[in-house]
Amino acid sequence: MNRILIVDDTESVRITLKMALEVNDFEVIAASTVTEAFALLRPRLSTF
Amino acid sequence: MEQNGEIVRIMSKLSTVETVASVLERDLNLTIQKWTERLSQTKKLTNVKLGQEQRMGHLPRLLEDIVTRLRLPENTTAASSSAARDHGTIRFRQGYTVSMLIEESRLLQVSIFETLHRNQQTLDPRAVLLNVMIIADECDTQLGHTIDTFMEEEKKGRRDVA
Repeated sequence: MNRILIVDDTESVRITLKMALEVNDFEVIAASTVTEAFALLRPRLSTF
Repeated sequence: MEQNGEIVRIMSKLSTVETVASVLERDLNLTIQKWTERLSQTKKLTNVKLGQEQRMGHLPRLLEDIVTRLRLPENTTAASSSAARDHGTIRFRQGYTVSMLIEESRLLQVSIFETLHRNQQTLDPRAVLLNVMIIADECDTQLGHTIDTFMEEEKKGRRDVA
């Protein structure tokens, strides 16, 4: 499954994009800031 | 009997599914209202004092262009938007900068996303991704047209503001 990282400070943008991508078979990681994105990515870096 | 119940549930779901274009058309005024609310919290944009019509008068036509584009066949490219071009001329005369044009265009995309999010239950989730890509392309194209005419006005050097 392909993975996509969404970083956007607007919740409605994150949620709508996440929903749209997930139903099209993407695994989605969503963060509101770059700091949050790095925190979410760090444990997964070995699998990217 | 159970099969009939499933058919009723599916038919019921189908009857409530709306296209992204229909949702944007139906909620056009609400999308503009949300855009206005976001803009009122953006100091960079409120520095230029404008009346309500001057501020948001361009939005109905821009949103109608987006709805029209969404209803065209999938691979149709964006047409030249007279609404976007007119907007660039007006904003130059009102004292905007290119950076402000970019910001208000970003606010429009965010407000559209908000509308889609609010109507998530009635949208076909499989169709949303393609529609979101078309909306982003149309908004970027509109912004390009707006900046083109803005720059043309700048070359002429005419401003209505001091």
